[in-house]
Amino acid sequence: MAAPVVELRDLWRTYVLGGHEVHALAGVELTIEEGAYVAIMGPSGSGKSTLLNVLGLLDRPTRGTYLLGGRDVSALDDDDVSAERGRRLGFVFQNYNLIPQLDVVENVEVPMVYAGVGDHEARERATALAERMGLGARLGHRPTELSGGQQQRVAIARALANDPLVLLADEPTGNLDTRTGQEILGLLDELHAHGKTLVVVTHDPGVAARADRIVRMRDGRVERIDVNRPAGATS
Amino acid sequence: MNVLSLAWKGLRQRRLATALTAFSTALGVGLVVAVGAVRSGARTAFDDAARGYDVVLSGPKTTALSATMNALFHVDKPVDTMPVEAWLDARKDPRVLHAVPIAVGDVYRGFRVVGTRADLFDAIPDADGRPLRERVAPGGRLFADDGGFEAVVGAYAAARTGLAVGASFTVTHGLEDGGHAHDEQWKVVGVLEPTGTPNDRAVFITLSSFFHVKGHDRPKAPGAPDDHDHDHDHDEGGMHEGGAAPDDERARLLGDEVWALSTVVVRLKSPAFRFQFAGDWNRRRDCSAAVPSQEIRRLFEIVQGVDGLLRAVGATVLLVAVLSVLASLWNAVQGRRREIALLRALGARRAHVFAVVVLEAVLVCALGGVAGVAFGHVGVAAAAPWLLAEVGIRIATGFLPAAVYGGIAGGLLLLGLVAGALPAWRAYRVPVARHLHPVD
Repeated sequence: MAAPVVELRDLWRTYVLGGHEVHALAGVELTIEEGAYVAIMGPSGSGKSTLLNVLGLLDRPTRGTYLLGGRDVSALDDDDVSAERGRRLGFVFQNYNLIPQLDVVENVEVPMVYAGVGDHEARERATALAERMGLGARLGHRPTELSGGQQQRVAIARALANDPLVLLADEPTGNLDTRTGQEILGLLDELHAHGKTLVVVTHDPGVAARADRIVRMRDGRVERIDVNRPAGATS
Repeated sequence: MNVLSLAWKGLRQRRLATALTAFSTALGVGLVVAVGAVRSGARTAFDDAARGYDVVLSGPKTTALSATMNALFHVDKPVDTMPVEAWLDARKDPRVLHAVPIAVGDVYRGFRVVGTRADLFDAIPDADGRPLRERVAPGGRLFADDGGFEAVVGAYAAARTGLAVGASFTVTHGLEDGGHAHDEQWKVVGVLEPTGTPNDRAVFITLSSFFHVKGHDRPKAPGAPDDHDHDHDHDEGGMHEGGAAPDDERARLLGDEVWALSTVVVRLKSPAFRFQFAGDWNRRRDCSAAVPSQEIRRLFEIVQGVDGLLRAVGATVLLVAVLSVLASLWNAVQGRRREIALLRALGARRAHVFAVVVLEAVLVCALGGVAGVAFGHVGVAAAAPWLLAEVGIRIATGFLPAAVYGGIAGGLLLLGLVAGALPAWRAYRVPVARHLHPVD
C-alpha cells in the first residue's frame, strides 16, 4: 500500500451562526494514499466544500489533526500555510479563476513566482506545462480569448506548476459542456495514470465514477467510502 | 514576472481609474512645481533687474516702491519730479560711481520712452553682469549725450515694434495709451541685445531731446497764457509741472531745456554704501532715496502670502489626489477580493498581497508625479512669454534644483504608501476560502 499523503484525524470545523454552533465538519477521519484518485460527494450542506477548503489549507480546522505529506499542517502560521499551499497543493476550480490581465504562460507562472522559482525556469516550466495541456498555440493569449475548456486546461497547468503532492479540483467540469468535460476528465485520468494524487469534489456521478474511491459525506462526517477500483490501480 | 509586474498589470487592468487618479495627482504636483518655478524664477528675475541700481533718487513725494518700479521696471507713474540740482550734487558725492538722470513721460506703441544720458549704459549691467554698453547688437551704436534726436531700443521693444537701426519714430505723449502724438521724430541708432531685464522693454532717448519736445518744456508761470497746443491735463506725472531756474553747470551738462528729472539712478562704488547713502539723501527735502534691492525684498514679503496660498491650494489638490488614489484602490480591492483570494490560494503570502496593493498606489503616485512635473514645466514655459511681455521679467524655464525633484519623489512615495496602506490592509484581511468557492 502506498504511503498516505493526506491523513485527517478527528477533524472538526465549527462555525458560530446566530449564537449557535454549526459543525460543518464533525470528526472527519480520512486517509488518502499517494497516487489515489478520490471523489468527494454529498448533498448540499454535507460539508464537502468545507472539507475541500480544509484539505486545501484555505480554511483551518477548529480542532483535529491534518497531516499533509506527513507534516502536521493544522497549526501552522499564516505564512507557512501560504507556502504549503503554493508548493504542495494545486487547485482547479469550477470557474477556472484565471487572472484576466495575465496571458496563459503568466497565469501558469504565478504559483512559481510565489514559490521563489527563478524567472527563466518559471517561464520554461510554465511553457512546457501549457504545451502538455495542449495549449501550445495559445501561450500568449489572455483568458478572455480562450474557450472554457482551454481556460480549464490553463488552470490545470497552473495547478501542476510546483508539482504538488495533491491536486484538488472543485467541480472541474461544472461549467463545461459534456464533450469538453470529457476532455478535461481525460486529462485528469492521464495525470492519475502518471501517479498524481487527485481529489475531486463533485455532484456528478459520471465524474465520480472516474475515481478509484468515492468519499460520501453527510452531516459533516464521512458516511461511507465506495471503492470503484483498488487504490493505486489505473483505469 | 514578479510582485512589481503583477502590480503594474493590475493597474493596466483598471486603466481609466488609474489614469484619472494619476491625473489628479499630476495636477497637484504640477501646481506645486509651477508655483515653485515661478516664484524662484521671479525672485531671480527681480534680483537680476536690480543689478546696478544701488539707489534710486526721486521726487520727495514719490514712494520708494514707486521709484523702484519706475526706474527699474519702467512701470508706474511718477508722482512728482526732483530738481536737477539734486543730480548735480549726487554726481559730486564721493561714494557715487555713476549718477544717471532719467526723465519719463512718453510711450512708443506701449513701450516706455526713457530720456537719459549715455552713462546709464555704463552704470547698468544685463542679467549676467555685463554693462549694457557691451550689449549693443551689431550694426548699431549708443547715442551721445549731445546726440540730438537719437534712440537706443531694448531687444523686446525692438522685436515687438519692428524698430531697427535707421528707423524713425514719433512718440505718444503720456504714460498710458491714448495720448496724442508728438511731432518730433527720433532715429534709432542702436538696438540692445536681450539682457534678461526690464530694460529689454524700454526705448532710450537722449535726455536733451526729451526736453526739446513741445509739452516737456518748462510750464508757464501761473496765469500766463498756455501757448502750447496740448489740450489734455498734465497731472499724471512726468515732466509736466514744477521746475527750477538753470545755472551754469547744468547748462553745460544738460543745456537749458532740462528743468526737472523723474529719477536719478545711482551706481555706488560699493553696494555696501547703499543704506548709508540712501539715509543721507533722504534727509534732503527736494528728493527721496530708495534702495531697490530692499524694495524688492519687501515686495516679495507681500507676495509670499499669495505664494503660500497657492502652495496651500497645491497641497490640497495633492491631498484630494491621495484620497482618490485611496478610494480607487479601496474599491479595486473590494472588486478583486476573488483575485486576491486566488493569489493567496496559489501561494501568495499576506505580505505579498499587501505589497502588491501598496505598490499599485506608489506606482499611481509615481505616474502622477512624472506627469505633474511635466505639467508644471510646460505651464511655466507657457507662462514665461506672457510674463516677459506683461512684466518684462524673464522666468527661467529650465529644470529646478535636483533637491526639489528629490523632495517631490520622496513626498509622493510617502503619499503613495499612505494611500495604499488602508486598501492593502483590506486586501491583507481577505478571507481566502469565502471568496474562492460558491457556498456549499
